[in-house]
Amino acid sequence: MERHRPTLRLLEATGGFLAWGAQFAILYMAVSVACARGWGSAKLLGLPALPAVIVLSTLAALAAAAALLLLGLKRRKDTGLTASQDFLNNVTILVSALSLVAIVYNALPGLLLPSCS
Amino acid sequence: MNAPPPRDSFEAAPPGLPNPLPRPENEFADLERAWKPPRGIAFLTETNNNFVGLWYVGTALFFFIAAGIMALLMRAQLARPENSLVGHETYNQLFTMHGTVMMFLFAVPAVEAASVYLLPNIQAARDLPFPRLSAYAFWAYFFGGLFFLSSLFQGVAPNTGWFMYPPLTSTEFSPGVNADYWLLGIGFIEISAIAGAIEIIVGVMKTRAVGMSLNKLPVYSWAMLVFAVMIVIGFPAIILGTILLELERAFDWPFFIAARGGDSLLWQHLFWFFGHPEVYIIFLPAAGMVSMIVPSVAQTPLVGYRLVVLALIATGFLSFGLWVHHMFTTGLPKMSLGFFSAASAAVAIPSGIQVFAWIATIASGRMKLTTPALFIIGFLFIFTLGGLTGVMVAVAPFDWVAHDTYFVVAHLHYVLIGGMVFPLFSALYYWVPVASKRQLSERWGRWVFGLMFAGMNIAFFPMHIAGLIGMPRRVYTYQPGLGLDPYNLVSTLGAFMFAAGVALFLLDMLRNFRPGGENAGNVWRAPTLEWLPNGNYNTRSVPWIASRDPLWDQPNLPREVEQGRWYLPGTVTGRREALVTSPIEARPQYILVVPGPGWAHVLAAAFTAAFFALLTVKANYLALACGVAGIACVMWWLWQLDPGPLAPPADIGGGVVLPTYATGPGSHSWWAMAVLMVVCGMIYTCLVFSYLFLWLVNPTAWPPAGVSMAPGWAGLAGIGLYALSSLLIWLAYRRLGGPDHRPLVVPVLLAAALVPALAAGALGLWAELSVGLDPKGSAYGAAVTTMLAMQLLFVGIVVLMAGFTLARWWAGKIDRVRRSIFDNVSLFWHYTTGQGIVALVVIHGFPRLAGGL
Repeated sequence: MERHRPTLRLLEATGGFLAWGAQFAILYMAVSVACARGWGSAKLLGLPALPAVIVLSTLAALAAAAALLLLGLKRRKDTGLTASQDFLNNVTILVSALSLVAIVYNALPGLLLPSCS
Repeated sequence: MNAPPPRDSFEAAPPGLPNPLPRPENEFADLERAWKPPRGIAFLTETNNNFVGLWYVGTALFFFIAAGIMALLMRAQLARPENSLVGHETYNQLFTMHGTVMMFLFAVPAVEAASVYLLPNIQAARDLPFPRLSAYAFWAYFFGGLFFLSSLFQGVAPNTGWFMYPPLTSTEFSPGVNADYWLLGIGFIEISAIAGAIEIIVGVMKTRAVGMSLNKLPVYSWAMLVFAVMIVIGFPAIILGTILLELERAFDWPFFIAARGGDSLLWQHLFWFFGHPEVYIIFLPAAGMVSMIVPSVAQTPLVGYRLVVLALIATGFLSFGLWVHHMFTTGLPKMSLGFFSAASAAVAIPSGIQVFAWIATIASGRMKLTTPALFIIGFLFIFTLGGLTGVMVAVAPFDWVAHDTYFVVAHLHYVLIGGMVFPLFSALYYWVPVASKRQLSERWGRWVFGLMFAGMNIAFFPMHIAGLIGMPRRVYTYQPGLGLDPYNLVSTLGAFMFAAGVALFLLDMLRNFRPGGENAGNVWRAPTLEWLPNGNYNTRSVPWIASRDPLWDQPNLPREVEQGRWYLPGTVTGRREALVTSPIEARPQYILVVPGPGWAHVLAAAFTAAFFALLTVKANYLALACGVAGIACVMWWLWQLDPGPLAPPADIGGGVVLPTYATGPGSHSWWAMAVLMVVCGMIYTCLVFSYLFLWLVNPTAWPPAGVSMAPGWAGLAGIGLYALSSLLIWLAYRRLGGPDHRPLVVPVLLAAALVPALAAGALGLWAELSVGLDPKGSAYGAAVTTMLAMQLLFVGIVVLMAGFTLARWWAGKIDRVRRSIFDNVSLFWHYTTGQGIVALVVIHGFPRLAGGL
């Protein structure tokens, strides 16, 4: 594995939380900008813009973390993995699974609370 | 890369021991000679982690005691109402210095110090990859810390709280030098922390025992890796914050002055983006220590290794989503608070995973109640309580009530003393036998623990109640009859009890701590490599390890290592060497000749400290002279590096033949430069964030009315010039990798690349100033000028680097093989031009796109 792009393997192992971080940044920036500029009730293509950003960024982050989780689970069936490869793969699975929880957790205030109060 | 070709995996056991007996005559004597410390005053120039680590830990403990004495003075003042032991001004300085010294001069340096000592031992490495950098970090911290502490004795110590909120810290409300001591002193010490973090990242990833693949990496190493990455991401925010506040104070650039478009909340964002991860930055190393000590005292492997690693990684990420929970009362939208509240609750999950893993390990083994074990139990109890009140204050409505009361003081001390001080004392009792001929007294240790545990709870538990009654933080006295008197008196008694425990510990250290020579040995029957027989060179030979608990699973290992039967049992070049291994599988890659003792890094640290110190007291010309001397010392230091291959590839045992030099993306110096670029990138990202934040709080116009923008052509020209500069450096890089040994076109291209870089840097600033941009007039002007001036500073660094590289070329110290310095300069060059392009895109593009919004 190491001779085949170790940086990529390390990125995969932390990718779930990178997705969480991207979603977190988008949500926080979107709410900050929308509320500071009075765009809390703005519409985009007929849809309420802020909730749309929250839902779309959450779905994108969930998709990224879920893809990594599936990749890890699929790779687990590969019997040719060395111990360190197997370990990194397990880290990928655990990190992406926990990040799914964190991403949903992030989105909840965005879906439950009023935009700019 | 010129590193060796890939070899077979080292995950499986090698066929037999790699080096036979008897070992050649003089092999061991040569090794000892290479690692022999200098004598007399030159001992201060030593870079060996075994010495520097101990100095570092000792200095951190000194600051712990100093800040503890400040705490005792405060508690004595608060023992009864309307007390007059210290006045309010002195009290303000005491609480500011107590918090600042504990956080910046004790907590972070202490865990870095411990790792300088422990990491190479735990990983069976000869030393960290950049020993002079560690030593520089130590000396910078030592000189800078003492200077900072001296402000208290001059009566000019910072007095506005350890988080230095403007506008209280602005020139208008804090006209003295008190705030400057904080901004310049602490800003400087943060540089030391970052130097340490770079060392730790590369040390964990590149200098390990053979076969210590990531799945066998000690949890402590994992913790230090996450810790160092968090420093690299988090500390730049506070470095940038201190730069902006000092610029405002020194030159009246209004980043935080609302009347001219600034916003004091910008400081809070920058401070807490560092400040909250900081809590985990000091907790994770402590958690790593606990994960090493618990299996040892319970005599059973750690339960849930993978989950603990997951918890460390998760904490590292999630802790960056918490910073606004320190700002719940600043009027941010409730939905924003909700995001941070959610992340604050989520971060309890990984902490909980670790706590359960430790409890499960204790339950599955047979733990003896030794002093390290007692401190672990104390840690679990206190930290869990602090975590629970943490979940309480993570709930925004509760925080609105408890904010700025003694409830928060109680919470943060439960977290920090529980989460860091108790594990550190456990670690001191546990690891002293590695460094000392004698271990500390178990009988005294029980008293130390008892006094500290009882004292801590007696001191801080009543503060919860005092806070809920309504006692605010940072008051130097209170009136009688408010119901606060008994709680404060009890807290004071507890504080002195805690201090008695620390004093007893110090006495025991005086009695029993005897470093140097033989150590006390593996007194705990511990499973990890720091308990191998050691000397100044750490381990005689670098072992291959079969598991995470090598001393339990390979019982002959200590004898084999000491006999020199494992890898690299001597010195190939006659100098100090370390074995560099690959980041995931820990395959041996090359022999690294590590720099030894020298004055350059010590003097560089002294002059850098003097530069900041003199700047603080406004002795600007003298400061400038020290700054120039500091740079000269760094150049002198760097001149001695990158020696090229000092010996042909050598057999380190078992037919493993390694080169004595490597360059390119797999080499240690490339890694360090990559990490440094992340640090620089984070500083600049924080600056761009500040620019965008200021746009957000200026809804009318950007740039503000009456301020003109530089013409767009200047931006486009600058982008083109930066791209041209990078292209020329890329061509030089390619030519140096070609067939010629020393192609003359390389220095020509390097010199030519300077012209467009300098032109772009100067043009960017000139274009704005020529249309009358005034950094004093508006936050916009201040932000744009700072972005361009900082870019010009980076170009200046590139000029220095280019001059240095050209000098080395003419001295014959750069060629097709010996090229690490050239490679690093070219990496930094590309970074600088990239940063310049980003700056111009933001400054010229953003207002044109979004200025009217």
